[in-house]
Amino acid sequence: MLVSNLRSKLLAGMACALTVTVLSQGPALAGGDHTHAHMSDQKMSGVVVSEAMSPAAAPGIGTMAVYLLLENASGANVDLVGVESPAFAMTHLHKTAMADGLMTMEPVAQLTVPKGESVRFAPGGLHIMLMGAEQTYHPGDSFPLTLVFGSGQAIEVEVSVVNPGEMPVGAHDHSTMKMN
Amino acid sequence: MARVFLALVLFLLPLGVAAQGVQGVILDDPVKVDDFSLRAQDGTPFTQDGLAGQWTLMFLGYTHCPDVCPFTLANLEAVRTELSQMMTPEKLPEVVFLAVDPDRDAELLADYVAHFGISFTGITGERAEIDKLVASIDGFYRLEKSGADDDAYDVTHSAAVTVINPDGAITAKISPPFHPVNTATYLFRHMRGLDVTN
Repeated sequence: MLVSNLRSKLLAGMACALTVTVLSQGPALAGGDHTHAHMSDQKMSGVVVSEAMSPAAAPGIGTMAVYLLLENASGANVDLVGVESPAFAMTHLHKTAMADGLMTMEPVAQLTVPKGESVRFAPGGLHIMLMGAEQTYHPGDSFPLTLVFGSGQAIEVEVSVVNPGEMPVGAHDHSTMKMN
Repeated sequence: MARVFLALVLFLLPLGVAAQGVQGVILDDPVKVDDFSLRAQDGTPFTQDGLAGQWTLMFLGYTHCPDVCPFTLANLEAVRTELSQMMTPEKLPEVVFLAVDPDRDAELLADYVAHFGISFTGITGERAEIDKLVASIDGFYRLEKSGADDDAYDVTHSAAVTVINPDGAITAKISPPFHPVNTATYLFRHMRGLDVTN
């Protein structure tokens, strides 16, 4: 019977999901003693962040996700090691993983974007999770977000808050990025 | 000859892509949803009887879900919009959001579901009753609480949308991504009892 088959798949998914909870839930950026130059032109030696957007959350919900396009046109691999926003109490680099029909969230400690490649953060995949919004954001609003790289450099972007229905359909993990 | 073949492939390719755009499982025989007793976002009782009389798309999630739940609910509203081009309003499927994290969900549920679709129903309630319905739709969830005082936890949960017929019986499950046009086409055919290619 189909249902029992689904159930056995779910059990397999549970075993898979359990390993995720063991991972650190701490801030994606370790330590608070970093120094970095905030760049206002959204460029860092060929690294470009664009299409940064976040669907407006429902009233009372302080959790949001940011989606964006991270292009590495520089001559070297870059490592995204952290995200920060003064508009939220907590920021995490996250990936939604679907295994055997279950959605789990995995913290991503570091995201390597190979030179010449780009990574799209999209629903159902990589996203920047923000918790504890300092205020309610409506479509048309924006808030600042800083991406911190392993080199110590950082890129600050302005994230556009959009209507939930305006997010493009997507979320397929087809890049060659490495995560650990 | 090769050119004709290529033209044929190019012509058929989009059709194939569209048909494969929805991952769905259709049950050989509908499975009745067991009895449960929850409450809708306005506080009124919502039981298995609330599923009778119209098609229902049921999605299991939690209000603090940052990524998948908002995206799925926004897509389901888009699916309804697409379907509204194909059928009369009273035949459109209802979207029911089963909130499995009542401690955080209950007081926010009314605003939450209205944020995504003015017609959406959000239901939650006692843990035991939630679990009955979750079991009935063959779903799964787990609160990833690190301790009793953890109030920023994630919830691991099923990704599928359960399709329930006007008799209150499950007929299909569809999996993300819920591309609005493809999903609407899939559901339109399914609800009319037509074969669905996938």
